[in-house]
Amino acid sequence: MLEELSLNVLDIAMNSLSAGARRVEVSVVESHRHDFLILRVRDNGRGMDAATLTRVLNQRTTGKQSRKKNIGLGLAMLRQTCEMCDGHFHVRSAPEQGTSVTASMRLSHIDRPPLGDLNSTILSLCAANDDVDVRLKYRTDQETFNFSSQEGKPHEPRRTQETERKSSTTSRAA
Amino acid sequence: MKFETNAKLTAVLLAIQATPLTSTSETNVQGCYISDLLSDVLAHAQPGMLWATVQIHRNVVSVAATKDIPAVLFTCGRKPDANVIAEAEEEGITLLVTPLTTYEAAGKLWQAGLHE
Repeated sequence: MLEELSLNVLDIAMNSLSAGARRVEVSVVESHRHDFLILRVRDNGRGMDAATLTRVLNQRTTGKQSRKKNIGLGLAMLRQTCEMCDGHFHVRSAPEQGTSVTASMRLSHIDRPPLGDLNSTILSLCAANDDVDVRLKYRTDQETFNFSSQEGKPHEPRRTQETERKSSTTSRAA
Repeated sequence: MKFETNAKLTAVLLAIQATPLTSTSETNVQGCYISDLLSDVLAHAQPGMLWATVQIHRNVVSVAATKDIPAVLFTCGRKPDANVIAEAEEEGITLLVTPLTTYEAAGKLWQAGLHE
């Protein structure tokens, strides 16, 4: 249980970055009409195999050694929050297939933590890694907001550099 | 009471009418932290403290283990599931339950000298 749900989002998305994701997509659906809040963090990182996934989901620290390995309590705490707030919690992942964490809760549940400062969360993620495409999809009953950190950036600047380098080495070789 | 504690904790346990849920022995606590927000406990509790909470989720045991908290006191008579108790046994963490509210328990713990 964290004070704000945006901190949960930050926690999960930081894991996405550690998993080598090139794209992290945070989606938030806030529906007063249907009384639910859904948070989803989806990445194209290296993913987890079934055994790792089971271990992460049933995580409890067992002695000092595992604590040092720093397998966090993040997912376990978010799961607790979902269950406490009449929601569901789901993680889908496979090796090289990325990971998708979905958390839902009843929007009006009295124990539901506030969403908090989602802006700062997204900003921190963008600042943490300039190359990664951090996306936000925010949807309410009335409107949708979309953001991508790669918006307006020249397309695939890295490849351009590589191409330049390659062409220069080619010319040198020639 | 099954387990042997130092005199202070025994007195403390009597003062708050606490019942142990685990069979862990030789528990020593120094000071107490009270919070129901796990992240707050992760941030502010000190190793060796007693932790009083109304949360009975298994994550409580994980947090206690992470912070080297030797004993957790559940207030308002809230009892965790058997599997949570089993996990605490495994971790060597003492679980206690008291019918008192957190406020009442805190007052009595302070009176019994746990602040020293």
